[in-house]
Amino acid sequence: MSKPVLLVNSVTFAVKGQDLLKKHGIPSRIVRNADFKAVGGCGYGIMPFGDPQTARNILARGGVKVLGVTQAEVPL
Amino acid sequence: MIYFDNGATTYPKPPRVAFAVSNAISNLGGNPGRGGHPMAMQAAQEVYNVRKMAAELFGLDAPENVIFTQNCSHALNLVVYGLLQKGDRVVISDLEHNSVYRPLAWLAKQGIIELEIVETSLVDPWQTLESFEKALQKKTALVLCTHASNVTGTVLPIKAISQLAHQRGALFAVDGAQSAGILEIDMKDMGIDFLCVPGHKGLYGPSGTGMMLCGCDSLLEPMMRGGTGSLSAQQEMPDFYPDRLECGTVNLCGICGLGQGLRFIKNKGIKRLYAHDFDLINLFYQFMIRCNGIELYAPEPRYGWASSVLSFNLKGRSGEETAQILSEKGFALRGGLHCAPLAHQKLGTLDRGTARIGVGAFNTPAQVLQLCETIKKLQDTV
Repeated sequence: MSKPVLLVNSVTFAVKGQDLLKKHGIPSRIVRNADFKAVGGCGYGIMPFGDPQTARNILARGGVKVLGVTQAEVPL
Repeated sequence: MIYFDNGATTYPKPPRVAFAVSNAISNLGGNPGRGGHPMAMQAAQEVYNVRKMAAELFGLDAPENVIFTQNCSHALNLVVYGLLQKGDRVVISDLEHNSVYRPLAWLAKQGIIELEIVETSLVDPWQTLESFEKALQKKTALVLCTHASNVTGTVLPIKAISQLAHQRGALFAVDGAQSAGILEIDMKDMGIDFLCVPGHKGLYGPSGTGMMLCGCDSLLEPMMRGGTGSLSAQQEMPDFYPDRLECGTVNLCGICGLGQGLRFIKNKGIKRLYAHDFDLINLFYQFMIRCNGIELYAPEPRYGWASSVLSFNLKGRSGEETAQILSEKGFALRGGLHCAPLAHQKLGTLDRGTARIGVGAFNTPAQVLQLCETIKKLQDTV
């Protein structure tokens, strides 16, 4: 099953984003290289549980830039 | 040996610091930011937690603007070489350590920048501010100064200097080598654009750790370039922190140890730790001022205006000799110029240096009194 992934700049922003979402009660997972091209090579994404737009808004307010949205399989 | 060289590096460290370093070696095998497997992610999480703790301690909103470095000198060099451009003017104080003075003096010698050294007062912050105000009449790119002198322990009026700098359009950077973990620092409240700190002194972390915290929008030019685990397809370094200034694998074990040092500071509370240090330095001063044959190189400590170090000499002895004599009696103090020739020029001790006591969280009044009694006996013998 695939889910939306919010692509971010680096692992620091991925962990920061996950931390921000957790504060808002949204569980998430960090995904590596969800879209190799979109992040310009190696990179990370955040797979939020629930509405990706809500998660995106929370990230934007917290200073985490979302580079794009892609889909990925839910990691084990 | 009773350790009084906490101005150079703190000892002992809280036991949890050693445990965290050992735990990182044994259990955190992954490379943060270089993989997606659980071990790499756990390491990344640990590193982020320390960034976040540091940001909270120093009043910085963005944990990503905490850049891990090898030490405070490294952090200062990131600012100096990453920010300054040809024709820039920089103002520093006359109490600076070589980690501030040398990189700037080199740039000045190359004709790249203009450097002005401001005269401070060891007793009157007002006079210090007047000197900075005068120096800032000319257009200045950066004011960089120590928060607390590593020779005299004098604390500079950082917040007011910052206001002067910003009024004149200059950025403001602080060398927190002798104040981080010792005095309260709130980057937002104090208007600090760049804060450079060691991890192994007042923050009680391991050697080989330090941080540069960026509190403004400036995107510093990297001093080193290389792999960051991000934007790997592009030639240029990323245009975001911390990756822009952190190439190569970070010192994971050191950072984990530093995290526990930060936790120690948070749990104890800076106010409490400072009160402890101040009481010890004041005790030493009050005893020494009544001793014949001692030369003290700082005014009477005033709460909030004195850090946890103080310089002195046995009369007729150099700093190295004084420290050596005390070492033979079982006390670890540092003697010499303390890498701060400007401060010694100001004190008139460039030819002989000073001995320096540096107290820390694990020193006790009894230890200070033992040192005082030993010095007194030495003088009585003379």
